[in-house]
Formats: sequence, structure tokens, C-alpha cells
Amino acid sequence: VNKEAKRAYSTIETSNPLQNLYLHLLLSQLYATTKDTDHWQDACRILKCLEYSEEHTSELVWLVDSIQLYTLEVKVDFTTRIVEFLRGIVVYLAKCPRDEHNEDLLRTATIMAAEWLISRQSSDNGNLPPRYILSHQDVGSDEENQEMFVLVDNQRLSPSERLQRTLTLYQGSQKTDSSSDFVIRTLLIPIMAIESFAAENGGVSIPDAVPCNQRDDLRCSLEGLWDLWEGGFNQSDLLRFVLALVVPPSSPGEGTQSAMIEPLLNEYIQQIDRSPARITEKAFRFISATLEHSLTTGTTKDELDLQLQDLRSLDPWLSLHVDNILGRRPTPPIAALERETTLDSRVIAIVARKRLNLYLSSTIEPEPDILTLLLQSDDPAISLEAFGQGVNLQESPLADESEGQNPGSPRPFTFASLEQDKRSRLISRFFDPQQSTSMCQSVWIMFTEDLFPRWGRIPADWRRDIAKALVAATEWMEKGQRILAMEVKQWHGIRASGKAKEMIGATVLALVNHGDIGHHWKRKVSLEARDERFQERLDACAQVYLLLFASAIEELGESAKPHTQDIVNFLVDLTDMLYNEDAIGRIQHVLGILRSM
Amino acid sequence: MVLILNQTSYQLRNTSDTVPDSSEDGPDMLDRLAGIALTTSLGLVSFTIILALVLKHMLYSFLPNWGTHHDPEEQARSRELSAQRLRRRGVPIPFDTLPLFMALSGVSFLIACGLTILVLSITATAVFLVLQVCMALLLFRLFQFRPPNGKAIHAWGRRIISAFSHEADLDPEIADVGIPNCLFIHTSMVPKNFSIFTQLFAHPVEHSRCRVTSLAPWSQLSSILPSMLLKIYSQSNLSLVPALRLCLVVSSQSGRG
Repeated sequence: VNKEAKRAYSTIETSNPLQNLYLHLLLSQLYATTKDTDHWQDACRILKCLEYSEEHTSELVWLVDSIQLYTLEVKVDFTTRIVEFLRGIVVYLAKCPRDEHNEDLLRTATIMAAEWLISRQSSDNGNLPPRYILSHQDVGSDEENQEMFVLVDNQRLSPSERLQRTLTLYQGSQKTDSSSDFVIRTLLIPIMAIESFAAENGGVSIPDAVPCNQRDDLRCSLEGLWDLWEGGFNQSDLLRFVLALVVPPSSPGEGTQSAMIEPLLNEYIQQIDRSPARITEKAFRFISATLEHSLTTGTTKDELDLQLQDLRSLDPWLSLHVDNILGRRPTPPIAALERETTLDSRVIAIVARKRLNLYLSSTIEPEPDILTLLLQSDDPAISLEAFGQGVNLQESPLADESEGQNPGSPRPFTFASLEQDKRSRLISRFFDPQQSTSMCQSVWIMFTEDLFPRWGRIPADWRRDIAKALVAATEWMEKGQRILAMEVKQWHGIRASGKAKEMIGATVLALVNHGDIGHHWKRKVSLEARDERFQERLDACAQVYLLLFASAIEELGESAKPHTQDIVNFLVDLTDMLYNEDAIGRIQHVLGILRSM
Repeated sequence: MVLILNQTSYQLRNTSDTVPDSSEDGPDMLDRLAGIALTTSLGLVSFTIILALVLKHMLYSFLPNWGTHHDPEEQARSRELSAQRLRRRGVPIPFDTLPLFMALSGVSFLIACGLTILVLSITATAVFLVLQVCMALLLFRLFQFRPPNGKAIHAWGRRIISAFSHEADLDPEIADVGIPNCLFIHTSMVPKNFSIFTQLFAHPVEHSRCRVTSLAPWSQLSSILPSMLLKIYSQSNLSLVPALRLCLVVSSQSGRG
């Protein structure tokens, strides 16, 4: 039954976010014990992006109200997973208009779910009788199961009374110090934030209403509020809420956002006991976003730099991140960055991505040593991006007299210092047949936009290694073929105008005719970006697919001949979408086979 | 002739002037009783006729337009929907009681006739009594009358109460008690009934009476759910979300089992 169900749920393709949400929840039940794609996380992600509509609201009411029924299979990280899901609901709640009946129900259901999680901690086996948001009156006196239906008074309360009720729940969860309670508090905090702003419209002052700062409050807040920030909630309001937690209400004048950075950071550093290892991904994202937001609200870079000295001193990667935010060249020496760090790998990945995006979006020239360091990252996406940017860098002549060479002379290959074994490991990672579809697409985009136009500029030993790996990676090539052919087919189906086709054809030609253009188009968009131009980029990849393969075979020359049979088999099964007459001719020429193939 | 008539008139006048004795009291009482019985039977007959007309009107207004449905399954669903609407409007209760009223009106008419004849002749009364019994037996046989059970009366009462409460504002499509569970019990679990099952999960959550409160029996569906979902997916005119809801809760229940 499970196999059949997996097949059915994976077959259904829909653009409706609600249906996708359900499908991911269903798949998460089936893949609960495996290490495959985390469908629960995917469901949470959909929730956070869900736009407001009445249909969505009433559907979410059902989902939250029935959460006890379909989460029976969640065995690992139960509280964390449910809280993640409910935080997605809170993000959605923040998008709902006020005074809407279903919004009221949804909030009530969410608070009830939080109560359920709290009471679940205290129950013996974690199995509580199901409770729903409905009233006794609605059920009728003759129902046998009326204890299942409990009305939370919340629905009838005024906003300030509702806030008080959530605060009581929050304070109740503070009495114990278990990790589950911490997680539940990361759910209650965003609910409190939403209730606070609703109460503020009724004349309640947030600093007076929000409880004074206790241990772990700020950690919970940053963890819980990041989802709201990411979901588009008013950033200044969120910062005001955090400020109310950090700065006591008795100190007026401390309320400006630029002035809050220092106490906020000091408080956070204190709460994590000055240990970088305790910095969580979401809190880090929140702090980064706060720092960037302060730059847009009048704080100068120098002021901010001064306020962040304490953060810089904790870890060289944090120092690099400060440089990223300020848009400056890296301050910490590369040796310090190469040393072991206690920072969470997800936090390091944020810093690395930020640095790479800075190179793409600003005039700062990429530093080869930083690129080489990031090329060796454990995260394959970061490593790929660094490689692409390193290859791109080949075209920029040296601007200064660094490394003992004259300005204007061709620069040495960015990754020339990389040892042979590291290079082999890196190249084999490009062609890993186990990589995800998204990663495979990114690799093809890198080949098309970075590597292929500059094929002749990279060192011969690198070219040969890549060519060897590409010709041997038939499994990976076939996977790429399926992905590209499918995507391009859809894209062609959507694209109606012949004019657009001509335009894209021109772009592709500009990309592939690398010999005719002195200075190539420099990539400005990250490989991971999945924006509206993504399909267009993949279409260009399909055009380059066989040309790149032909270049690799030309690179190998005579040594490609032992693989002739495999190559011919591969070419025979090639889909029409990726066929290229010129590339086929080049391959046949190298392999010395007749054109009648 | 005129003399005879005057004599008779004189005798009658004398009789009416005298104090009535007990033997003359009976026919007057019977007269009145006969009048009351006749009036009652007339009233009952009128009420029964009006009730029958109202029922006919309701049936007519809820009758779907069969001509537009070519698909037998679609016809069946329309018929089921129509039956549900009739049930929600309380039509089955008057249906149950209509034979009672018809029988009552018939019996009361016979009693009234009997009383009227009794006033006239004892022999005729005896004949009518026999006829009355025969007619009553025939009526009971003909309509197969069953008194409405207590549950139906209780449900009717609740419906009347709810008509005056806030629930009257709810969508009438979903305001009935326990329809999902009743339907579930009376619907065999075969693929052609999927659309009925999925509709049970299509109601907004706040309408508690439509909630499927016991999920345990639904686990029987778990083995056919994937094919059901694909079938609904292939029929683009049907909404997938109720079916997905059903899958979500049922598959988790079966996993628990």
C-alpha cells in the first residue's frame, strides 16, 4: 500500500499550493523513517509562502484543528516539527486581514495546538484525547463525544485579553527548562507579537504589555520571529517588539532602532554565553537582517562597524560576515578562516553565500584566496558557485600589482594553488549521479554560463580532468538529459511567440560563440536563483549540452577512442530536444566514425 | 287536514313545555356529539388535504431536473442530494404522519356518521359499526401505518428549536446532525462511492455536526485510497482537496493500527 501511495502522491503534479501542501504532508507520513527529501519541511516552506485567501484560511483551520490526527507518525523531533509547522501558520496569520471570522478561528486553533503541545509534555505517554476548537453548544447535548469539543474562550476575548492569555501560556512554559519548552516558546513568541500589534491598535503599549526580558527570551524571540520577518511582516514593528524585550520600559530614549543594535547584540551574546557554537541559523539570519535594516534607516557603516566589534571578536567567520554586511574586503586573514571553527555549519553557509552574492552584486572583485577556501566547502552549492565565479574571474585582467605581476597582464588561474587530489574530488562532485535535481540544474547552468564560454582560458590540466570526468559520467549525463529535456519541453510549450525564440536563440549564440567575443557576459545572478529567467537559462543549457560534450571529447582526442562504443550508445538515445548537428559532427570527427551513424 | 295538523302542533307544544325526563335527554346529547364529530372529521380531512398539498409542493420544488443529467452516476448523486435536502427540511416527518392523519380523519368521519345514524335508528347504527370496523381495518392495511418513533420526533423537535437559534444561519447544506456518519454507515466502500466519501471532508471545520468523529472504521479505505486519488486527479472537474484530506487522516489512522 505504501509503495502504491508513494507512486500516487508523486504522480500528482499541481500548481495549487494547498494541494502541494497536502501532498507533502502525505509524503512525509510515508517517508517518516527514511533520509530522503524532508517533505515535512517542504510543507512548512509552502505554508510560509502561502498568500492570503478565504479558501486558504478555512483549509488551514481544518489542518490545524486536525493536527493531532495526522501527526501520529511523527516520531523524531516531534515538538520541533509541529512547532515549525505552526510557525508557518503564524506567518500566514500575519497576512490575514483583521476582524475576519476564519482568521479568528485559525488563531484560536493555533493557540489550542500550542496548549496541546504544552500539555503533551506533562502527559505520561504523550497521547492525549483529541480536542477540537468547537463549542459544546455546537455539538448538542446528546453527543457521546462532547468532551472532544472544547471552546477556547480566546475567540470571544478582546485583543488585549487575548494577549494576556498568550502571555500566561508563555510564562507557564518558562517554569521548566526543557528543550521542548524552549521550542514551544519559539512558537508562542510570534503569536505574542501578532497579538501585541492587534492590542496596540486598541491602545495597549507594547513595552508595558510584553514581559520583561528573562533568560533565553531573546534566543526564543529571534528563533521564532525570523519566520515572520521572512514572511514579509513589517520589519520595523518586529524590531520594536524585540526592543521591548531587550530594553526595559523604564528607559525612555533607548527606543530608536540604531541605538538598539548594541544592547540587542550584547544581550544575545550574553544569552549564548559568548559561545559561537550556540548561535542558531534563524537567530543569525535575524541579526543579519537587523543589521542590514539599520543601514537603511540612517545608521552609517562606520557607526555600525563600531557597534559590532564585540561580535567580530567571537569568531573570524562572524568578522567576515560583518564585512559582508558593510560591503568591504575581508578583515580576517585567510589562515584564521581556514582554522577549525565552532560555528554551526549552516551559519558558515550563510556567511559564505553572503560573500559570494556580494561578489555578484557589487563592484568588489572576488578574492582568489576566499574563492579557493569556499570551493572546498562541504556544501556542494557553495563550492559550485565559488568555482563558477573563479572561472569568471579569468577574464578580468589584474587591476593591481598583487602577486608580483604587472597590472593588465592575464591573471593566473584562480584555483591554481589547489592540490591534485582536491581538484579530482571537486570535479567528481560535479558529476555525482546521486545529486538532487536542483543541484544538477545548477551544475548545468554553471557549465553553460561560466565554464563553456571560457573553456579555452582555463588551464589544460583542469580542462582534461573535467573532460575525462564528463565523458565517463554517462549516468549523470543521462540524468541531466532527462531533466533538461523535460524542463525545456515544458518551457517550449509555455513559450508561444516565435520572436521570443529568436531572441533566446541570439542569447545562446552569444554564449556559445566564445571565440568571437573578446569579453564575455559576466554572470550576475546566483546559480541557486530560481527566478522568472530560470527556464530561459535552462533552455540555454539544453543548447550547450552536446556542444560541451563535443568540446570534452575534442580535449581528450585520441584517448577518447576506447570509449567510442559507450559514446555512440549515449548519442543514439539522445532526445531531439538536445540534438546538435555541429556537435555530432565534431564528435564523429574525433572518434573517426562515419557520418551515417 | 288542517284540524289534524293543529292537533299535532298542540301536542308538540305541550310536550316541549313539560319538564323533560331522562329518556328524552339521550337523543339531544347524541345530536350534539354527532355535530362535533362531523366538524372534527371535516377539520381533519381538510388538514390532511392541506398537508398532502404542501408535501406535493415541496417534493416538486426539490425535484432535480433529470433531463440535464445523462450520466447515471451524476443522476444518482443528484438524487442523493435531493433526498438529503428533503430530509433536512423535515419532509420525512410529515410523510410519516400523513397516514396517521388520513386514518384519523377517516375514523372520525365514520364515528360522526355512526353517531348521526344512531340518532335515527339502532339497526342502522349496528350496520355502521360493522362497516366502521371493516373500514378501519382496511385503512390500516392499506397505508401500513406505523407511528413515528421517538427518535424522529426528537429530531423534529431539535430542528424546530434550531430554526429559532443561530444555526438557522448556517448553510442548510451542512446543518444536519450526523449526516457524514449516517452516510458512511449506509454507503458501501467501493470505488464508485469515492465522491460521496470525499464530500464528507469538504465541510468547513466549524460545523461540528458534519465532523467525522470516529476515524477508526475509515481505515478500511486505506488500501484503495491511492487509486481513488489518482482517479479523482484524472477527472479535472472534481476538487482534489477533500480527497487529500481524507487520505491524510485515514492513512495516519491505518498507520497507527
